[in-house]
Amino acid sequence: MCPSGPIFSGFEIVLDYYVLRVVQSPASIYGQRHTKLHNDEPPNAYNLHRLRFNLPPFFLPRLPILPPPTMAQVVGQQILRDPALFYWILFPITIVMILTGVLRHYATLLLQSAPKPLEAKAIREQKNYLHGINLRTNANQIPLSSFTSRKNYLVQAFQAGNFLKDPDAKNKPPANPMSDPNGMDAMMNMMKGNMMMIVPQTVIMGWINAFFSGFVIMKLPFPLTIRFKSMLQSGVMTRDMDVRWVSSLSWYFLCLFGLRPVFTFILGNDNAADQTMAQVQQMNPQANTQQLFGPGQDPAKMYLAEAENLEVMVQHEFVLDGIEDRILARI
Amino acid sequence: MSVTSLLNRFKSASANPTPSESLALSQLAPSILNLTITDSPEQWALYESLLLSTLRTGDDTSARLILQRLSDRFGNDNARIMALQGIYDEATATNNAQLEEVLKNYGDVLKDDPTNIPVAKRRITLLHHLSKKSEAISALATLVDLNPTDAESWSQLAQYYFELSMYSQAIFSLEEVLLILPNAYNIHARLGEINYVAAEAIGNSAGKEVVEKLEASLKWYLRSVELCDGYLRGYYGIKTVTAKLLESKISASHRTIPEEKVNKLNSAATVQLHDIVTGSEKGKKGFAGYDLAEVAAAKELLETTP
Amino acid sequence: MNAEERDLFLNPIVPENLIANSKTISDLHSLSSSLLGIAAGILGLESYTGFLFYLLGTLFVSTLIVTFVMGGKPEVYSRGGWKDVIAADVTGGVMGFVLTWTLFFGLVRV
Repeated sequence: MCPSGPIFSGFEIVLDYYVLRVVQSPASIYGQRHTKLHNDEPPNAYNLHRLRFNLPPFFLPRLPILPPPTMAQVVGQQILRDPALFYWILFPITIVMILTGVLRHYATLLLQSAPKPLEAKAIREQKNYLHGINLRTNANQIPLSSFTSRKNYLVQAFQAGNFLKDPDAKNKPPANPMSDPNGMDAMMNMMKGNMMMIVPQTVIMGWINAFFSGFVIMKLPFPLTIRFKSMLQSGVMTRDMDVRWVSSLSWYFLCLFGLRPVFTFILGNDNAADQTMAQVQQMNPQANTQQLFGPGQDPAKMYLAEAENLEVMVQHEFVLDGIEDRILARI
Repeated sequence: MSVTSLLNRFKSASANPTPSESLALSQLAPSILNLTITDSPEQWALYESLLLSTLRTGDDTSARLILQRLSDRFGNDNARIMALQGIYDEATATNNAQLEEVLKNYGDVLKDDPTNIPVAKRRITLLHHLSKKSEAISALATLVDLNPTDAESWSQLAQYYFELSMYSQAIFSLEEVLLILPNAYNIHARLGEINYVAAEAIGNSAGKEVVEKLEASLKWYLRSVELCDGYLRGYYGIKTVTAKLLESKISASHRTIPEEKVNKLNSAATVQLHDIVTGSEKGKKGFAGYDLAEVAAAKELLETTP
Repeated sequence: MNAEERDLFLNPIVPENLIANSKTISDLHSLSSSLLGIAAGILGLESYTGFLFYLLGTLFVSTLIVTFVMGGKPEVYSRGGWKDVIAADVTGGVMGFVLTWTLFFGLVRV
């Protein structure tokens, strides 16, 4: 790796001594500007870094070598960093995160397979079940007599299993979801969604770890507890550095959670995505009959349960009762 | 003009546009068809609306082009495209024989795929148009048996029953719509209208049954204005029904709502109608969007019964 | 049926409108919190002062929303009235604020 320089056991040590030159707080005799500091810098410090990274020289922090800090000097740490860190780490990560978000959005749209059209009997089974639910939730919208006659009809039909796709399968155990093609479809969709989340995240995290690990790139404007140290300063194994100094991976995490507003501006709110979905569904109306009966559920049992729910409904308060008084009170 | 502003023009047009309105909309065809196709949902919605307008005004060449672009994008076997194609065929048919041909096509499509809801709906409207009313109703009944949670089918069924003066069936169908859309104030007002017409239809005009129907009608109307403050049809209905209830020949013994309240409701509805009519005529803020025909009818009502 | 249920049932809330309203509010919030983050970063606020700045800033934005966007009548647009607006504001934008705050703090100050 570095044939002419001293041999180091690990990259961390390099960092400790040369990258994070910790300047004690009031005694910054060199002033604030990095360029100036660079003039006094012994050439030795360069070589080590050049050996590790084949990047243009302006990439590298050019700071004086200082003795490693001791425990007592932790308060008011100040680290002078090269602005090149921003150009070569911060912005690439941010841009990549944004582009991945955009890519994920469109890839999700692309991978969304339209649900298989259902056959007439399956639609009938699902929609009549929904009918029962609607009657139960909106019972108060219709007069008592209308409600009772509907209830009696539906309870009888539900119990007899009139709406079932195949009435003979009533007593059979539900099919194994793995062998059911519809169930497989639903699972595939779920898996695609998960993949769209996991794959880019792993790839980007790996990329950041491979390229940018071991840099302190920024200081958080707020303090954190020591517990965050291992996460936020991963790759920078300095014991005494303030937790507020964080490595590139933490910027990745910040981007992961904080870029939502940016995406809403670029992709025009989640709304845009939703509306595309709505349009696609509008174009094939059967597609939006969502899977009401999940894989592994027995429709016959659900119908019986719904019939029971309807049967035990006793309270009925017609919404039109006393409406004339309500309106008169309002005027 | 952008797609959104064009689409808004279509959206702001009434559901049953007058010929001049349709003409104005269909004359937008060149500017819409010249826009680059961005494949946005708005643009396809715009195409669909434009297709209907051009067919209304007889601009068949534009309609053909629109349909071509839609089917290029979504495929000829798309259920919705098939229905739009059907609308085009119906509109360009010149005699009943051609319409029968279209009807036969619909039947063939549905034989292959009974779940093609848009085409099934087209077939029902065509049946109704060809005066096969009972066939249309039975086809619609099969459709609501297949999918009893489709509000559109139920309200269409209510309309067909209403046309045949089968009021209780129409009321039943509209109640189904309310189970699906409990906040649909226009359906509440429609229930009021049907109850009122049903009361009118009963011959002896002072019986208990009539009063019951009128009161039910009043209550439905009241609910519609409770859900939507400025609903013109609701107030119009309240005023008409209360006026009917206050007629001297209806005996007080059958009533459940006391006369004094009916009186108050009548005057309240008059005030509201008056506000809406003047507000709409002067173009006041908050009174935009009323159907001009409805406002004119309300004005007439106010003039005849002060 | 208790009084609240009854009220909700007689004067129903249409979910579509509710969703559209909250979307509008959250859009305004995410924009304003990002801008607040930029301001805080440039001002060089640290720790508690930064968060205090965010809190005051969002409260100010909420007031603006209630008075101008909602025309001073928040209870017409969301069931909880102005409380809903503020709650959505404070919780929704924190991450965006922290992101831009950190970025501009790093760019300008450190």
